[in-house]
Amino acid sequence: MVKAQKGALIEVSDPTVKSVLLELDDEHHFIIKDLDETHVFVNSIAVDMIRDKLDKIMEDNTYKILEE
Amino acid sequence: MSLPNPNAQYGKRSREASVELDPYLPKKAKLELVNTQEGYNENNQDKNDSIYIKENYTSLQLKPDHRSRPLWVCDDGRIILEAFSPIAEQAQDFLVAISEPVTRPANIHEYKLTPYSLYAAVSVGLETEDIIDVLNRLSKIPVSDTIKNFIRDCTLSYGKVKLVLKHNRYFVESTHPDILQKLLKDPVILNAKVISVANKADLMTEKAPNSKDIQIAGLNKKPENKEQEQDKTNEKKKEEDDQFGAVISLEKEDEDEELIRDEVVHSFEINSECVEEVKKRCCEIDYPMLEEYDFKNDTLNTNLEIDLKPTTMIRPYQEKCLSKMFGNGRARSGIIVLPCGAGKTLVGITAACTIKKSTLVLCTSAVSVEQWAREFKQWSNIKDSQIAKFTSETKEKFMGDAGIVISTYTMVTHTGKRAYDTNKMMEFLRSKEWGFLLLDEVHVVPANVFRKVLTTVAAHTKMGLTATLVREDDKIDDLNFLIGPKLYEANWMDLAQKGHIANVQCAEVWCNVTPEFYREYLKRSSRIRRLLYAMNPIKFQVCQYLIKYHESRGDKIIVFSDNVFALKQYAIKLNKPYIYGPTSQTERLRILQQFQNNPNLNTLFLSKVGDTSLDLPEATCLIQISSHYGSRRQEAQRLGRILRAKRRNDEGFNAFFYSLVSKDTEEMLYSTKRQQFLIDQGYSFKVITHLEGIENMKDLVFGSHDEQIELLNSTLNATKEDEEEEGLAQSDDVAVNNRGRGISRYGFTTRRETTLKSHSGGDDMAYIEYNKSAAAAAIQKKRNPLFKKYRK
Repeated sequence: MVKAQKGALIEVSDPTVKSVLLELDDEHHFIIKDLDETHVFVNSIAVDMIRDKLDKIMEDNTYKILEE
Repeated sequence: MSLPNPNAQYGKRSREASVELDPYLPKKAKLELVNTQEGYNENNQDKNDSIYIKENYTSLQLKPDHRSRPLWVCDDGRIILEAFSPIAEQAQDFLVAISEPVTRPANIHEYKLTPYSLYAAVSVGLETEDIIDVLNRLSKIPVSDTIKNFIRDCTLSYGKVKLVLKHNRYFVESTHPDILQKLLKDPVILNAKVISVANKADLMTEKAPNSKDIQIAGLNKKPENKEQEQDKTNEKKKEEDDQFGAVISLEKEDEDEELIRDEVVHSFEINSECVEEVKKRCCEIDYPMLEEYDFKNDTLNTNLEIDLKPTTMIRPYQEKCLSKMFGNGRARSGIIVLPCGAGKTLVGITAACTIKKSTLVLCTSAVSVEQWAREFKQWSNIKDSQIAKFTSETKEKFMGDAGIVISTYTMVTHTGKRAYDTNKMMEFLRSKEWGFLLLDEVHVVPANVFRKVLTTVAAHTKMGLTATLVREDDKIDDLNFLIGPKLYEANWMDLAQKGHIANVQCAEVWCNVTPEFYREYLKRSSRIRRLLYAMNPIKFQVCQYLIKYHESRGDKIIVFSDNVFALKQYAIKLNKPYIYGPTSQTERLRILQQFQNNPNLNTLFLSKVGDTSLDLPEATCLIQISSHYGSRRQEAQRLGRILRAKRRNDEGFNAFFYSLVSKDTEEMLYSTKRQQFLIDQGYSFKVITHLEGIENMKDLVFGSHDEQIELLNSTLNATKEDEEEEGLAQSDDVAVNNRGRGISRYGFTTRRETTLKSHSGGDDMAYIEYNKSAAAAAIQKKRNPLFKKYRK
């Protein structure tokens, strides 16, 4: 029997972002197929969540003058 | 003059802030105008609109001739200077005297009025009303009442009373007899007063000391010329006066000062035993005393035969520092801030040559002890027998009654058990009366250490030298009162332009992180994270590339790493020498000498022991691979290693400062923070995201995937011990024999209950085996087939 699943293709600019995706996947299991260095096929339901988490992780390493 | 003040609440709040008290500090020391540092930054726009309401100064009226005036004086104590104004240089001199420089990039400078800075201003002889007056003259807008009150609050009681040591007796001195009378009503002070039979009058009066009495060593060659110059400047000043209508000149200040100096001063003598008590009491009743030392009339302490060599030249800014210190013919205590490599040492030596008394120099490490000794011999005519070094390795005393001792902070403040000769030496230091105490790199030592130094050593004048009066903790605030006010702070950019320090190109190089490293980075604790971003193979390659590139240009390169594990790995892999904590003294000197003289050795790896006081004029390029979190001080100190580059005066010469940063890691954040101090000094950092031609480079380290994985494994296995440096630069001078050898009150034998394990010295050891299966496999391979049947 054929099982259909709706997915989204994510293209990443550099390998670091992909590492973050893989890391997130350990917890949330959204990756359907890891295609190559810069492409991942993920479950489309998770896209918004991924975007949020990714932003947060990247933001952590940025210096903000206001925080002083 | 004063306008209805839209921000009057600032003034109110500032007075409330002064409630907190420290018995050793004057009451007003903690007084603060409300600090609103943010707000002028455009990034804030979306975050906080209210800032614009709070910081709205549009209601202030500009003076009609505001174009010729260079300052904006804001109500929160900030002063903005237009550095391109024709009289900016004069205004700058004035501002440095009365306020703290906050940022000084090319065109607009920012200063801030603080109680400390005003205290410093008063101590170099400025008067309250003069400060307000000049500020008003230079400002585009009328100075508000808030600021005027603040200045009055901070200065009125400061600097009016001086504690003067002359003819080896302590005098309390003031130009205002009424203040002295007030002091004498205090019982503590009255008790301390020496009652002399001969002089029945309460107060002695005499002519005030004059700056003309003194000649600073090295500046005394052409006194006539100087006067002529002064005449010239006076004339020039008059022209300027005509131009602006208002008097905006600062030399007037000096003249005023001299006029005041010609007045009489009143004084009474106090018992030398009660000096500390009187000092404390004066702080309590809000008349903190300034200490001055009349060294010319000190007949008890033997003079030291020391003078600058005739060939020694003093630069203009060094002259300025010294004139602040010896402004009225006596020596004042204080701190002088000059960039690294701008000749702090020479300032110290010149001061010592001027005072000509026994001098104690304290610095941070044994290496810098050697350097100070060398510099003293190079610049002055001091005899070899009169200069003594006191470190854990050498313990010398000078011949005769007066001389120079050079030592480290740790040697003097260490409290544990010491070797016999160290104790002897300490007794010697304690027994002597020192004319001059020179404190090198004051920022590294927190205030409590200074308290200890000052109680151990009796010194008449104290001078602190530093390049970076910033710390991430607030331990330096008290220095102003322990050592003395900040007398001078130089402008880095200005010195670079005039060629006194090298021009530096700063760059932040962003290194990608390999996917494997980043995977691990995300999983691990912060300790391993630090290690991972330092050991990133791409960073390794970038480092190798930069070293190769700059070596081929003929640069001498220093590579800094805080992380010792990374330091060793890099140095061994790239086949370069390295120096870190455990490296022995002789080894260090040998490597440094090689680096300076050997044309085949162009790169040197240093851990944080090399951060300060290391004089390597050959170095022209600096690469930083790992660093101490967001420490601004460290960044600036490291930059200082290349500021003194010998080749700086070559046409179009640039020194290079690279900071290698692993992308998308915490390091990015720290890096930006670290740069703040240098950016405030006017430096700018270029960001390099890609190095041209790095792919084409031959034998790049860790080029293959396998090698990278191997590096990752060895990095993850690094233990904490590998990484941390045992005993930092400061502690490596303490004698080794004081560790854990307690002597009980019963004598040399002690009795305690412990386990057998600790008796055999196995307490802090544990057996760890990495990669068990691989090790087992290796052993198995070696075995003779004969043992086959014993194999499990």
